[in-house]
Amino acid sequence: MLYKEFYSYGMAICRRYSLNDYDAADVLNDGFLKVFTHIEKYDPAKPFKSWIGRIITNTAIDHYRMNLKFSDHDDVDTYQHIGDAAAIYDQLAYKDLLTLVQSLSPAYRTVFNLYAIDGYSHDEIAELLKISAGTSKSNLFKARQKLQEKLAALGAKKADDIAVDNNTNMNTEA
Amino acid sequence: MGIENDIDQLFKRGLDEPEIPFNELDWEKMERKLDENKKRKIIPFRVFTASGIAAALLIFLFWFLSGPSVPKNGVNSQLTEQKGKTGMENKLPGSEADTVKIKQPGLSHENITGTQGTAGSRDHQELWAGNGQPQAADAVALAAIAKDHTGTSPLIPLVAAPVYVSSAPFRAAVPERTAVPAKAPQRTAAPLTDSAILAQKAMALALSKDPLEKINRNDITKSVQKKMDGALSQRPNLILSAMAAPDISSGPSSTSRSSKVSTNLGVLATYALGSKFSLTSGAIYAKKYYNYSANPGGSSTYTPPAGTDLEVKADCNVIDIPVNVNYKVLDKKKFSVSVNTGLSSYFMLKEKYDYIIDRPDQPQLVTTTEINNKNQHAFGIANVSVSLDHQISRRVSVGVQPFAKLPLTGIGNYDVNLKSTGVSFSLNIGLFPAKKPGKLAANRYSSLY
Repeated sequence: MLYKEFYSYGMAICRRYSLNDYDAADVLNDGFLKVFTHIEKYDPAKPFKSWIGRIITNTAIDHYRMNLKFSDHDDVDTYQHIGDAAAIYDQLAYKDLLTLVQSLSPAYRTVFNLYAIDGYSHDEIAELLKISAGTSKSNLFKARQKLQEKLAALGAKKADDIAVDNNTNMNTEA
Repeated sequence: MGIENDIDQLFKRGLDEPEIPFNELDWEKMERKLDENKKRKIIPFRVFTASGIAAALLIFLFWFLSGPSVPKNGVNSQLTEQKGKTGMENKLPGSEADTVKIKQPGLSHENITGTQGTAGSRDHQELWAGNGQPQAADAVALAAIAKDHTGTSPLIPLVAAPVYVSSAPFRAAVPERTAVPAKAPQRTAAPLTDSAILAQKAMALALSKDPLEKINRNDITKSVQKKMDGALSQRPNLILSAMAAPDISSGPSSTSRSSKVSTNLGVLATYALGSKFSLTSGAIYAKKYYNYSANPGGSSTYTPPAGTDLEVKADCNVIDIPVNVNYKVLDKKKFSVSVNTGLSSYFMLKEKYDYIIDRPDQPQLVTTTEINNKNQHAFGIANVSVSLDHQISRRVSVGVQPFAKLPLTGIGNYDVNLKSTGVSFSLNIGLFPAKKPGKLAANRYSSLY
């Protein structure tokens, strides 16, 4: 079944753009409805997976376009590296990262997804979301800021958890 | 800025195509959504279909209950009380000012104008014949014929009211039942819905070994494409048409066809009642020529005296007001075919009848009668036609429409059972496009191209 075949792929996209899994399912079904009703427009010369992915992404954008609140352009001169905590971040599971992304505001989340994960340029994002390129950059900057703050908090918690586990193991061996 | 973004990469790696287990509940929601999508388009279609059928039934009932019978044989006294004939009997020229023309060998025509009435009530008109002397016998014969000719009606030209069928796209988002065989897994014992069948076809495509394999688009999308085209297209709800139509009119006798071709010019408006049905009305000005022969042994309602041939040549100006229901049986992008039926009302502006009487060894007699604005026949003609329309642009189309008009009542001053057949040519312009899809929907669908 087509739906089942591409369910995981489509749901992964929808979850990133949605506030929660429940909304993600609605976005996914709306996207597949377009796929089913526009199947004749598929160009066999192009990968079918990419075609579905594009439809679902656009559907996700449609769902939140009217609710997006975009800020004015701010300075984007600096952002901080994650630095030495990268090792801990590598241990973060999919669910952790997803939760972090979903915790962003719709505007930041959408721009971050389009730029960082789906590879859109700021000009393309501006055209999709009917905003300026400067607003897109600003939102991306703020999204990264928020994520970094949350990562730091999450990383610290993970480090503590690792430390606790290590102590527990040591006590057990002893 | 060429610096690699660590946060971007972190999330990209972590969120890129995870394995998410399939959720059956989401598929059930999908099925419901597909069914709702289909029902949303079927219900308006049924409403419009029912409305069109109801309108056609109302028109039929009105005609059935109000139309008088058509005269078959002899004089039908009921027909003498047709509307518009106040104070006018169904007789040959006798009460109107007549122009009598006499054809005599060796003599030139003389136009004698005078009042001619029935024997005993009007003065006999002196007719010059042969030797130039007035023939009283001719006048008596003419008067007798006038007196006897109480039920004969000259052939009245049927206004060829071309039934315009909108060729403009009335396509609504009406889904069609697809006959695509389905191999989809069935969750319940209920038969597969069209949406599920379509999804199965899409699945077959996705599961094909070669992802770049060309698909049979017709097999999968035949029923779906029309839906989406209808949803996105902007078809006019109202169409104006300019039409012109030649036709041949004839009466009850097989020999009663005029050598002249009648003409019809008019303006029509067609309003869409849905994707299949539409309603047409308008006004057509017609110049109708027809003949009516009353030969002994013929099928006419009037039998002239033995040895006498009577032919009536009619020249009438008519306003035809049609009300037709149109049903589209074939609807392609550039071409459509519709069947149309309805009723026309005739308003006789001017009726001119030339009565040509031939008797053996007698000069030919010609009398003329003109009647103005007297006869009106509401819904007295049944229209049947087939329309073929070709779309030139989004709003403009041209059409050809063979038609037939059948009388439901006696037409004209003499209640002729008149039929017309012809071909109408029309130029159609659409007005007031259908509601455009919303901006979001336009963007949504535009992303698929």
